[in-house]
Amino acid sequence: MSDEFENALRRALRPRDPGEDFCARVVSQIDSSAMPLRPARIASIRRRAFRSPWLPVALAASLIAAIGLIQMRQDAVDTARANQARTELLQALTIASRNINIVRAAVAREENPDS
Amino acid sequence: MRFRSVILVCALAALPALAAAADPGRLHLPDFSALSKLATKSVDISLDPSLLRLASGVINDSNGTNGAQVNALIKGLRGIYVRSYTFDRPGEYSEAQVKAVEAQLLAPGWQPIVSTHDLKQGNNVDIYLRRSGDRTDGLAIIAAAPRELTIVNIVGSIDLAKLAQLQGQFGVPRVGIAASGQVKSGSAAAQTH
Repeated sequence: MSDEFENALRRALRPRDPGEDFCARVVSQIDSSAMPLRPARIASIRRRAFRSPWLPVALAASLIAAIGLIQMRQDAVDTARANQARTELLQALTIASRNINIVRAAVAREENPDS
Repeated sequence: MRFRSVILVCALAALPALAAAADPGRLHLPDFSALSKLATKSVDISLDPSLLRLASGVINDSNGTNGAQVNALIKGLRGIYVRSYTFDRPGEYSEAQVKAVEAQLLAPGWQPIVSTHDLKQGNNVDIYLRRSGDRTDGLAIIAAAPRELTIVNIVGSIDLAKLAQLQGQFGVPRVGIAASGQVKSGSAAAQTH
């Protein structure tokens, strides 16, 4: 029983010559079926992507995020510049004020030497 | 074509002069970069109108600063330029550097209003105002001491009395003036013009 089964299996699985036109047949299958389908698939995917209702939303969200980031960065730069300008302004006014007061005190002293 | 190029070059060369004419109260401060390398402490401030506006927007009443008072003071200003250098040793800056600024103050419109000369310590402070009619276009302060040189140029309409009141308001104590209003260093000879 088992010998018969083994023999049948051997017969079924014995190597067979595919024939000289095997390569040609495979190539013809690829050319005729697979290749023409590829552009169509790509086109289909593209159509589906551009028809997606989420695409405009995603684009708008990306745009808003980019504008927001640029604005935040610009605000940070402006704030830093403003604070730097404020510090310099107060320092400049302090220096000017100090020198004016030195002169005022000297003038007061000159006008009223007894005080 | 060549004639046009000459005109263009002349126009570009005249731009600084035109700018100076637009801001008659502004001095051309020399390049003091060599002094800043010698100085132990240096202050180099250039605030043009746009920076003044920017600073004005963030000045408030915090940190002991009277924002309203400062904003009122700088309202009519078109620029503040300060160069101040403190040295370890006397004689680090040359008289010629001071003269280069003083020469500009001989121009029409500038008037020396007050100067003090401290004979003991060699501290000199000169204040000049530039007027156009009743309007003040600029202020220049030259404070020269053996170890310190300070030049201040304020462009625009400035109230000296209000400016003097600001001292001691920015966390900086009043310097050199006793309660009686005297100069602590003494022997100061003041000249008013």
